Amino acid sequence: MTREELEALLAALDPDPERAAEKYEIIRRKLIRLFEWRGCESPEDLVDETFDRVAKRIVQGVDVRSSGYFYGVAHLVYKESWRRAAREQRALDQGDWPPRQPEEEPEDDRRLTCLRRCLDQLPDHEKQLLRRYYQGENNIRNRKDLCRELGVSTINALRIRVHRVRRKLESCIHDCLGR
Amino acid sequence: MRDDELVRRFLLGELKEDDAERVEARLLEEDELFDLCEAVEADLLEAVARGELAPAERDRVLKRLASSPQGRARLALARGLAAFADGKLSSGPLPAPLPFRRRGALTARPVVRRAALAAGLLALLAGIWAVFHETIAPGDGETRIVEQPAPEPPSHRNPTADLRPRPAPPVIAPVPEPTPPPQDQDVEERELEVPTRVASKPEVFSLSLLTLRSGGEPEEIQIPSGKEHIQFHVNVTITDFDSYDAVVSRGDEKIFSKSRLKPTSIDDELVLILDLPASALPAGKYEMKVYGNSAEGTPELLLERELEVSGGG
Repeated sequence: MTREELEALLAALDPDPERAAEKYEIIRRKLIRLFEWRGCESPEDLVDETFDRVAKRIVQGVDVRSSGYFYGVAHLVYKESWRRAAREQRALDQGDWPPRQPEEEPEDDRRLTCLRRCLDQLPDHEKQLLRRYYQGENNIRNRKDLCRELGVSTINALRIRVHRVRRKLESCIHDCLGR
Repeated sequence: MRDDELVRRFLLGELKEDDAERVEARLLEEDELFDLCEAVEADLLEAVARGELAPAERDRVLKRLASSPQGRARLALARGLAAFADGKLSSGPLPAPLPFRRRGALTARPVVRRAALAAGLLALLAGIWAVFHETIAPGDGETRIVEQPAPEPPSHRNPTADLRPRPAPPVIAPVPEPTPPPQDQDVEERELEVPTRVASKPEVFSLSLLTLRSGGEPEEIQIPSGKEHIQFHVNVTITDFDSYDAVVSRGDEKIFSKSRLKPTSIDDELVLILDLPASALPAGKYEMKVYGNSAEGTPELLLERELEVSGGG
């Protein structure tokens, strides 16, 4: 993406530069997850491709006001990648290729070390929230009790609250693993 | 269906393609639903970690949500949190801190900050310019505005979400370009004669390119009696193609085809307009296909939809 395209993309997202950059990050994150849920192997690359195409269109004068446009382009990018992957798989099936090497992943010990470290960094009330939410026995009853104690109206609202803490934890672990 | 149930089924791949696409579009639009979806995903992974799922469901969660490196990391986190909650995560002395490599948020990247600032300034300048100058429409000769009668209230005969009739809006019709005939012969040009003098407003049916295949019931097209012609408005959303081809067929018989269509802007949406006489579609089942043409490669099938036409006459 050229500088001009990036500027046009951000300006289309929001006239306020700070807000535009925030919106960019939000859409980016969401698209990555959508590609993951679709089972795509390189979701970040596909999101970059999506942004590139949208930015080009904006420079050409297309009016992009809603996230629906991003979704439309992302969907197209997904379909293309799916076809490409199917072609590659057919080629692999036909040839006597060595098996693909799995990506190196950090060992469990490192993950646990990072998890402990990141849990320690959480404020007590968030740690307590996670502990209570994840308690193994009588899981459903525990969560209903937790809703009442916290004054949270629904289980879904509690889920989302826990999830936001978990997301912080994920981000911390990601950094801790040095990715 | 409740939202948590909906996203659970989405995550497990239990929704029809149409419904899954609708959920995806909502996920991008609605932050709360997106958070809920991630939360339900985490709950599913936790259930796997605790061995609480039936084997078939467990396999589906592992395949769909934990087969990628990111998914496996989430599963590992779910296991870790379950261990933490059960008091099984030992808290001995930690080794020396690992080198952190924090990935900066976009807002913290200098290039983006500068670009965002520049974009803001440009927007401001554009605003000032707009105040002091009268906007002049480009006279590029590529489009012309065709006046249409005022919109009539929407018809409610066909309540299907994807294919709802709507009033005919003003149309910015593309002027045919002096281009050579299409080289690709897969889609045969066969246009039907549409009355040039519009006696009545066309009945408009909307379709979206976001749906690849209906995979289920055909879409119902109810043509009101007395209508001389109808329009299909295919919402393209995606404009990464130079042009589009559309074909309506009945069995092996091609009823209508149009090549090198260009999208038209209607109500802030880009649509392909397929205009055809109502008499061309007597009651029965049809298939509509829309292809995207780009400079390189063969036309790409973007929409394949079964239509069940009734009414007319």
